Amino acid sequence: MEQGLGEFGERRAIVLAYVNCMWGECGMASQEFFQPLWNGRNLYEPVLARIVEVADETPDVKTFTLELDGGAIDYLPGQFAEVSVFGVGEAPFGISSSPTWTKRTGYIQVTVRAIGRVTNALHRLKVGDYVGVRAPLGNGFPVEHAEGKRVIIVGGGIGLPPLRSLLNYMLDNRERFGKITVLYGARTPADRVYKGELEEWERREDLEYLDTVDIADEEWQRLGKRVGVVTTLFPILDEQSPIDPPNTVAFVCGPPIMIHFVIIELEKRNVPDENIISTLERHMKCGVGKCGHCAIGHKYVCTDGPVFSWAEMKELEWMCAEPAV
Amino acid sequence: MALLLRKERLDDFLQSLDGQLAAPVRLEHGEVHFAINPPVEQILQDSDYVNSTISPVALLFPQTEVLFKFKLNGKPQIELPKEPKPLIIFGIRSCDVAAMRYLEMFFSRKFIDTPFVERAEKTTLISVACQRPGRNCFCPCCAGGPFLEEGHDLQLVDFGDAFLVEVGSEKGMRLIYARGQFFEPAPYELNEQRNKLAEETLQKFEIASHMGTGVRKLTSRAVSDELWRMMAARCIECGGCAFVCPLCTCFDVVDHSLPCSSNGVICGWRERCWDCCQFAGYSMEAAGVNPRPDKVSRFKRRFYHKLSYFYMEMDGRVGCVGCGRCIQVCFGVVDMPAVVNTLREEKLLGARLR
Repeated sequence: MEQGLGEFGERRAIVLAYVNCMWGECGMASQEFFQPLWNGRNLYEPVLARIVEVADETPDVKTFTLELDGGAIDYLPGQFAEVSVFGVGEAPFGISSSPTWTKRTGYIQVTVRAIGRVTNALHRLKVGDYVGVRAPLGNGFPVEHAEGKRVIIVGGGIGLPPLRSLLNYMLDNRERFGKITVLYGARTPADRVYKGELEEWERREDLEYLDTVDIADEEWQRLGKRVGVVTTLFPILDEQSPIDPPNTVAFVCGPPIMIHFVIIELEKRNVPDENIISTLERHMKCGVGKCGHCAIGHKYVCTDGPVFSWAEMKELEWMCAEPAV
Repeated sequence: MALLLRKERLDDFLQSLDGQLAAPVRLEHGEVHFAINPPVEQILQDSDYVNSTISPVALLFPQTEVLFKFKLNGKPQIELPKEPKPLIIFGIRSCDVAAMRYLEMFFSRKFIDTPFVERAEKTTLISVACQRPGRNCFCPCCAGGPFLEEGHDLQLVDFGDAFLVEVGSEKGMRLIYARGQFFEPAPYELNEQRNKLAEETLQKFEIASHMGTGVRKLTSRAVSDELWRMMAARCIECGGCAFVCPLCTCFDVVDHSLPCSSNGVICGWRERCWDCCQFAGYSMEAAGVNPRPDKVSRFKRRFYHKLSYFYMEMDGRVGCVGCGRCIQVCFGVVDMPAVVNTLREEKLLGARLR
């Protein structure tokens, strides 16, 4: 573990030890690495964060750029933050900025859809307002596992934010990964998040980007772009850049029904279960494996996840005799 | 090392302890409750009570507790609760000591739960070994008693006019060292008598709960969906079992706020309160998705948590200490021994399932 820590130092080592546990290589890393990584004295005390920018992504999705008291934090793509609106409550969000971007700017970003009490209150906040943050939490994507392999990123609607963190991280470390393909599906063109960045990804040479919407609008039709669910992109992929199963790692994020059908497509193409990486969604109240709300069988989505491989999910479903996805 | 504490010296000993003292007292309608600093003459002795209605672990993990307070006036200000005072729990029963040790493990696993662990570090447990188990007790089935071999700081064994004092930890040792005047060395024969007493007590239990069989049947998925449905149908989702269970740790987190001055300053607090996995809204997500929408899946969840081998492997013990409180509160007779014995017999066992 001592090698290759680079600029991230000790805290990074801690997180890596955790990720390795996921793949059954858990050494003597023991308990210490789970001490609060934020600077609160109390496990439940959030760090204050000032909102420095609010960007409208879609009519009901906003991206908040946060400046944390006590400086930037280090994290892995796929880890999440518990964001508090004081007086309303706390809710978990995948960190949508990449660790490399945070290192450059000192900020972190979360992308939030107004859907419940906390998220609606969050949407009413403006630049200069304060929220509370406890981060980073969760295991994060196993980026080491994907090194040197072909990467397929499949996102659906609001499932893109954690994948955007992963993709931007990979683009900043481009030489460590093989060919990268992004498949993105949304309900309508207006429901796509990060529209500016999507265009940029489409233009990039070192990245294959395909997108589709379920229901097109006039502009979309005029441009002659694809219509259909995200799984309809797989036949196109088969033609222009076929999947080489053992050397491919797929990251899937989106609504459960989409995850279900994308996994079927990947299985059809013989991608090994260990190489299909997805996230499970549960109501994570405390984020630190204590409150019990996110437990599936004997795993806590907040500390053992939220990132699981399809192999782990299947095993988990058997162990607890209930569906995980 | 074994010591003797004469009963006439007990009151003086209790009064000599530093910090808050929690001890069992009997309330107006007969139920037993752990009170903080009660008058010494009201403290119940071993033979006076079976156990408290609510486990004394609630002193460390209370039903509601403030996590922090905040004041919103420009930049929010956060105020953490004060550090807890030292606490000595006298008269805690063996099952609750076992529960306390489980909670300490659970709350310091991976992340350290500051509110609980800070309190636990300052808490000393003086347990009294049970010699008269209640009619709902089944601790011998779950490694929860009636006499403790480990886990206690001090364990008292009642010998009529004196207590045999057993030291189980460094904390307990320190407590005794500072108060040597109350103790005398115990005669060697007393140890033998103590073991005999423990054996005799084991014969007095009325209920058996075959935990091992329950664990095996449940983990190997030998239980039919039909049986789960029949058991779940008896559950009225009151949450009583989780609220009296000393091993149940689930909690909800809630914010409260209100204006606290005329110039628009908002004051508030964030608190956690017990929650129960049997409630329909327990795992409901903001988008309206509920991973456990039906009672059967929630009922299964509760017993998978308590009995699944994978939990046992992680927690080091079965999720029950045999205190019997769930038997007391369950209207539907789907408490722990009832469910375990149903799993064992593979059929629902009539109105009183035991």
